[in-house]
Amino acid sequence: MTYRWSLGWILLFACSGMAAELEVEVKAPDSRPLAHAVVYLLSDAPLPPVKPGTVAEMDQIKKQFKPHILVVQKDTQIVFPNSDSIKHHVYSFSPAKTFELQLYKEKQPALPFDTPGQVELGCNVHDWMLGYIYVVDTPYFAQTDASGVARIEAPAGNYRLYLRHPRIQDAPEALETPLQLGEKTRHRFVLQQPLLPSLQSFEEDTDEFSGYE
Amino acid sequence: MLLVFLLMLALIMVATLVTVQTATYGHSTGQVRSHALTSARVVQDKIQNRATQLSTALSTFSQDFSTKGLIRTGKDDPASLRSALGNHQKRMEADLSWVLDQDGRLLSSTAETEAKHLEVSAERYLTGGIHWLKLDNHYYLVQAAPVKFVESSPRANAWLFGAIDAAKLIEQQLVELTDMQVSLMADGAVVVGSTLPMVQAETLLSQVNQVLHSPGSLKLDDMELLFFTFPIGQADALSLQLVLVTPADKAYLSYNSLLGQLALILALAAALALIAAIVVSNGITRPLTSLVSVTNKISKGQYIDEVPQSSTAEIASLSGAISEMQQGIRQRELEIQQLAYFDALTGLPNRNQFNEQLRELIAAQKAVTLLVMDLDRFKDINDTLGHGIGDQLLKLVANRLATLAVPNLFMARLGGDEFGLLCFDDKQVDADTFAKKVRAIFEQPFAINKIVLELDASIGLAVCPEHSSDPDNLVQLADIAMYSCKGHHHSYAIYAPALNKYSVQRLSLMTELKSALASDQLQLYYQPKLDLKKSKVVGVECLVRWIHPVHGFIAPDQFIPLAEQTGAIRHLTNWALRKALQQQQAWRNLGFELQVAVNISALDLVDMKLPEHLAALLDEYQANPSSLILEVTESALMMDAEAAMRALQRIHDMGLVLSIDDFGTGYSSMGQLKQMPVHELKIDKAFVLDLANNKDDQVMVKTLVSLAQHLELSTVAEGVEDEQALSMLREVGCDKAQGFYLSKPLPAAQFESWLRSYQPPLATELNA
Repeated sequence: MTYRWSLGWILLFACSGMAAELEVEVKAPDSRPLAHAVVYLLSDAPLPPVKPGTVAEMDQIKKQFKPHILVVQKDTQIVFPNSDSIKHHVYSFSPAKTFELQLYKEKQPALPFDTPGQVELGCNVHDWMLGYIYVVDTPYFAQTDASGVARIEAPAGNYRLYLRHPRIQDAPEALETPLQLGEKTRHRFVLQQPLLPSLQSFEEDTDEFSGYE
Repeated sequence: MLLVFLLMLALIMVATLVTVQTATYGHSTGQVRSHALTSARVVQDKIQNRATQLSTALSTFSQDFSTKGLIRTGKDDPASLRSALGNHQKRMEADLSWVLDQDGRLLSSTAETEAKHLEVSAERYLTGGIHWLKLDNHYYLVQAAPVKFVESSPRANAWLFGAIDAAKLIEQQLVELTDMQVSLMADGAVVVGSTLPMVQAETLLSQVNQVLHSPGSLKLDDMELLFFTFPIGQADALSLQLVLVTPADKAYLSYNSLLGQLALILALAAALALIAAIVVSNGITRPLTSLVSVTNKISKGQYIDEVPQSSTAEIASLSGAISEMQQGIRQRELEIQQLAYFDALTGLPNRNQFNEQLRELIAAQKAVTLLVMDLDRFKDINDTLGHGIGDQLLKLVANRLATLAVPNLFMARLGGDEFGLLCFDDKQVDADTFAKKVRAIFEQPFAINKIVLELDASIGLAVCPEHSSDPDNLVQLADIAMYSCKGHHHSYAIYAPALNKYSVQRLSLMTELKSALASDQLQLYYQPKLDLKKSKVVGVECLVRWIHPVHGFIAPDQFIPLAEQTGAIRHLTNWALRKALQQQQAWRNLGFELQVAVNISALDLVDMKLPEHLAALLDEYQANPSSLILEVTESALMMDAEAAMRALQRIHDMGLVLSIDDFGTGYSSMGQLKQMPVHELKIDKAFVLDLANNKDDQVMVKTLVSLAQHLELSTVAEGVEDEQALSMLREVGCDKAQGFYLSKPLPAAQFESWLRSYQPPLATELNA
């Protein structure tokens, strides 16, 4: 809830300036849309920092991370509530955030994510559990929907547009592009390299591992 | 024989041995190869198991949370990571282990090896197969596992490697498992590991390298070894050679013992076969050999009393057959001898024995009187009464000869109706006496089946040494004497040089007759026939006369039988017919109408061309058929009555006159006579010559004429020598007369002058 609220706040903020909208479409080499991809804009100009006390949530439901991919602005606090009745051991060895929440069930304090980058989440007792947190140093970010389209509202101006997704194998250079954001700007990423194996089980709401309960 | 048998046996044995050897060798080799292949699989399985084990252990290790943590901090704290690797390496029973980071850089290692040798692409070592890696001149079995900080992550965060020293994989236990010595070889020469002591293994494998082909054989410490090589390891990577070695002795153990047994069995079989062959040889070959020698002796004319016996049934029966054959030969030899030296009909010795006897007697310088004898008119008897009667007659003659009271006599039948007698070394019986004694046996008639036959014989004699001392010559001389006797109606003749001409003539006449016909040496003489009723000469009998340029006059009864024997009689008859008809034509032209009578032989009658020839001649000389009379002797008619009858019938149908000559001397039946298509009977001169004085002849002539009249035949009387006979003949009703009283046979010219001057007696005169 907090997250949605903050997004609303950003949108409000953006509208108050010279609001512009960016529509980004992401297509896999097979022309299928890529959902849940993370897009964000960076600028040389200082961008508004996250509102202090902003907390995002990475839940564990039915022995899956929920959501599978989470995007937060730098310095956002993230809580890892455990909605399951069993213990989890959530950890990350990613350089952006190395942490470990050893075998817990009760509510854990929120952790600060202050380094931009990809944080790969795992659970030491459930090998199949996989989750990603993208920490971005910008308030202008979004995730593609099922049709591979994401929309970002930001003040018009010069930006760099970035694309991130755990399955993408394309070189980093291909995943960023300078962008002049006008009133209605569109950009399409067409990936050249085949995607890594599907992470569909994490991306869908269905839980194929429920049988293990 | 035995040798061939043995040779065959040996060949069969060798063939069996070779076949069995090849087959078993092939089988044994196949066994060894199969054993080696299985062993290789066992070894490979062991190694594969080790690889799988290592892979599993690495995987477990990589998933360990603390490992991940240590790897995460590996760059900062490599000592901790190395220590953890060392710990896990022990657990995995590996010899080396190391970690590469996400980018393939070495993070940590338990080995002292340079990093660059360890920084290999992990991909190749992930598959769980057998992978080799060469590090510091050592060969290792290597496995790798990805390290993912989050297990489900699509990306590996590091690579964990484990390696086992290849030499350790070749354990002594493999020898027990495979029953072979196992070695691992790299680069074709380097011994990586072996169940053998290293020195031996190196010696061995250097040889393997030379042999090239697997399987092959090699030697180690004077021991014959077989080896097999198999590549081991993934094909795309470094590949090692697995070398399996087994002693050749062991491989071919069963094969060698089998061959030994087989050789023993074959040798035993050969010995048994040899014994059997010797037994068979004794039972068959030896008796056969002795039988062969027996038959050889028999073929040489020796007779064997004891034909070898045998226990073998076949040989025994062969032996029996040879014995029987010998008896048969002996029997037939006797029969042949009998046939060769005895006459089957009379039981008398034959000409062969006669000649032999004569030769022996002359050789012994004995005085021999040789007598040959042939029966007169025997041919007629055979022809008219049949050969059965003829044969019986010969037997009777032989019987009578046997009763001859002449000592030192040898007699034989020389053939046909000819007999030969030898009287030797007896001065008391001279040739004349001997001849007379033989002659005497013909004084009594012979009776056969109630037929009484008067029989006469011609007898010729020759005496050794007076006439000749050569056996053949002596027989010839006696023959000459006998023929002279025939010609002169003497009862016997003793050889005299003067008689030689008969023999010479006999031999030459046969060849000369034909040329004589052509060169007019033969002439026809004509004897008139007087018709008693008309008292007129109505015809002539044409008689052949041969005036030989050397021998002079030759009587017909000398050359006509010869001509009949040689077949020249046909030419003679044809010649006579032509001459007669020619002469008749000549006379006709002179105004004399005369019937001509020509004598026809029995042989002419069966010559089917005669009627044709007669027709041609009659036509040629424009003669009336009824003016030609053919005279046939009674015996000729009887010889082949049916054929003669057909011929006579044809001649009769042509209108010729047929006359039976010498009637009354033969044995023709009235029944046959009645059927004969003849016109005339000529009464034999035997009944006419003495007609005037002999009452019997008068009765006979009267009867014959009467008979002829009843059969409606005309009659001609031959041998009329005086007027009285002529009158008598006219009285009894005889139609014609012929004889010296009228004229002897004359040549044509003289006959003409006789005819011109002849005054036939008037019928009244005769009657008076």
